[in-house]
Amino acid sequence: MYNICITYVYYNLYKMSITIKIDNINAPAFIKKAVERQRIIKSYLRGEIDIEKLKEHGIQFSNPLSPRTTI
Amino acid sequence: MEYSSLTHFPLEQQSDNVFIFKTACKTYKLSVYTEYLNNYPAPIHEVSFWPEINGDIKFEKFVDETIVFFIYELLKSVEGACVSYVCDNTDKRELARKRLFSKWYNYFGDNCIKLDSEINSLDGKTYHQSIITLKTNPFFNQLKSEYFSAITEYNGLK
Repeated sequence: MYNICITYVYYNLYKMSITIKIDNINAPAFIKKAVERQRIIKSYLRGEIDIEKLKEHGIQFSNPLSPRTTI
Repeated sequence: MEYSSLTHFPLEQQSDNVFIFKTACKTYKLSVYTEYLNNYPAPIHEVSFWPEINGDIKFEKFVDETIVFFIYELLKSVEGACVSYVCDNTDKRELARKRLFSKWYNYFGDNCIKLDSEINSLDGKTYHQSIITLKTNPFFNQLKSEYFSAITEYNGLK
């Protein structure tokens, strides 16, 4: 039995975007991890979990705009 | 729309590195998680946001602009910086999230370029992820190469 993988690449020159669309593959681990991380972060922002729980999942927020604390 | 003309609420950082801005009805929280992609030399920031409702739920102006302004500040922070967003698909509303982000990009993204991926995975789920960077990013070709390689080589595709 074979998996057929179909790949499309779209170029939108007007809005400057490139889209890659792939069917029938395993989603890469870094994307699956990002989805899971989003879910955990949203739980924290909603107040459902505390910062210790966040750290247990290896998530630490950054401030790339440091040293600014107001914008 | 140009970045410099955005009207936005003031943002303030809290002790846990979460930024907040307040409107008449809600307090919005924004967080940034930073990571690096393979050999790409600049950071990739994942931005998450959540509104806390303090009063009536109604449409408010400048909320979109404030979030977009924050994203632009991240993109400008370091040469080659990128912002990534992935649409949560656990509640099957990933397409609605993608449409919202696409709407924002189409309206506010004049100074940006975007890489999108849509993966219809073997586990039956659809994963949408995008990476946005400034048009002036000198490392854009490397970003494109690293990103698409990371997706395709995982499955042995060349």
